[in-house]
Amino acid sequence: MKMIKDGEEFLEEYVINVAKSCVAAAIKAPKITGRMKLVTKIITGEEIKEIQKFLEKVGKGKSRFVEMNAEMFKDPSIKAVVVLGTNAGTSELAWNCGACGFKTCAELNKAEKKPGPSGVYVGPNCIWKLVDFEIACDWAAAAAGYSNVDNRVMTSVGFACMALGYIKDVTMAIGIPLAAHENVFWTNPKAEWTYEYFLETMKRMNPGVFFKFVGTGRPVMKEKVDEL
Amino acid sequence: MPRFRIADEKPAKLDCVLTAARLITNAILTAPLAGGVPQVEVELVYGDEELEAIANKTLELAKKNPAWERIFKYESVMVRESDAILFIGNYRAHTTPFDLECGLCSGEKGCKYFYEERKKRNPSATETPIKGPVCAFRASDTGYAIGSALWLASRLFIDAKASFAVGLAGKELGYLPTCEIIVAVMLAARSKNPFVDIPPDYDKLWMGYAVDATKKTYITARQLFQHDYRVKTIKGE
Repeated sequence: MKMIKDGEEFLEEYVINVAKSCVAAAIKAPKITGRMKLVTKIITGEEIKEIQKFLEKVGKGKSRFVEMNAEMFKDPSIKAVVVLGTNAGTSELAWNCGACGFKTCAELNKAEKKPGPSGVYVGPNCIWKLVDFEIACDWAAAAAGYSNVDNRVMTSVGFACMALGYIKDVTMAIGIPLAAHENVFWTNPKAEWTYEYFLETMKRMNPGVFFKFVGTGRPVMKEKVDEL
Repeated sequence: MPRFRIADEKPAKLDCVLTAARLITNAILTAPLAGGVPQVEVELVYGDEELEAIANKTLELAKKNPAWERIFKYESVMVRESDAILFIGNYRAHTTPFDLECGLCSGEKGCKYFYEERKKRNPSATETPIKGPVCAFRASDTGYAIGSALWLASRLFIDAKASFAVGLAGKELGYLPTCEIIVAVMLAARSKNPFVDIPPDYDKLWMGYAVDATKKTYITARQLFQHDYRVKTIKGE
């Protein structure tokens, strides 16, 4: 029997174990309402690639953010994705606080539930149940962080899991991919963007930085970063 | 060398709680937020008068809604038993939505529900305690801040509880005036966690009431056995 192995060989098993502790943390997290029903899933193996493909398809040409996420998801060190979801569409709290925009909880329950323009998230929702849900997500992410497993709370992944049917009967879902990787992983994706593409995106997203003297009344864009 | 004796009821304990509260504030400010946009504000409140006012306001609000009554009553006692309160609020949820068109609030194009309902309403005429609608995506970001606060509190071995009721009382008292969604995180360092093991009718049967009941009855009971204590006791010594 081989008694000496590379440390990396154990990482997959470890990351999946950390995913289990994330779920435990999400369930343990103290909640405000105490009535939020949490749905939890752990995704491993081939399904992670399916999420990557979905993000690539959705993001292409539509959302730079999702495009970046899809690029990041290509990394093989992502061994598990913790998906948390909840159905916050109805409220039995009877607090009648008005945060959702309806006067009473009964009105919220009666309101027609419809998906947003993206077609996946469903509204309206009880705001306090959503707050509770995010507390659970925060605890799951913190649990992974304490085990030295890098993670990121990602709306786009939750969205993908809902669309792909990995998590059902929920109005909102969040995905937390886990990777045993060096610290800069999530903020420095390995994607190969060109400098021109970066500059073009920056001008589109943040044109104010590139304005010349605006006193003419006709703002003119600067072309190069050197002129900033 | 100054000496501080620190125990459950000693005033010097407050220093420890406030140190923890300030560290927890860091956790709140660094909590993950969608898009990394700053939107969370914190207010640290401590002191007998302040906590008393918040507890009384919570008790007063209990009468407003039958569904609130039980929760607000026991949480008013929790305020009296805690040492400091952190109010966590979101100042963007009701003004600048995330504009993601996510559909969580009601699901129409261009965050239409949020903008139209806001335009339609006269905020000062709205009867609900929170003047909605708020952006559900932003409001749920507040949850990350609260989660981080509770996480660090549990790591610092300080008892904490997030509360809607106390947050609402704080809102009525004018804490975090720019925020619409406010949640209070109560902090307490005591031998017994004041946020668990809550018996029925806790607003009447809490320890403060029991202590006061002892005070008022014992003094009278003492006077029933009059004798010249300098000469002898009734035991005959």
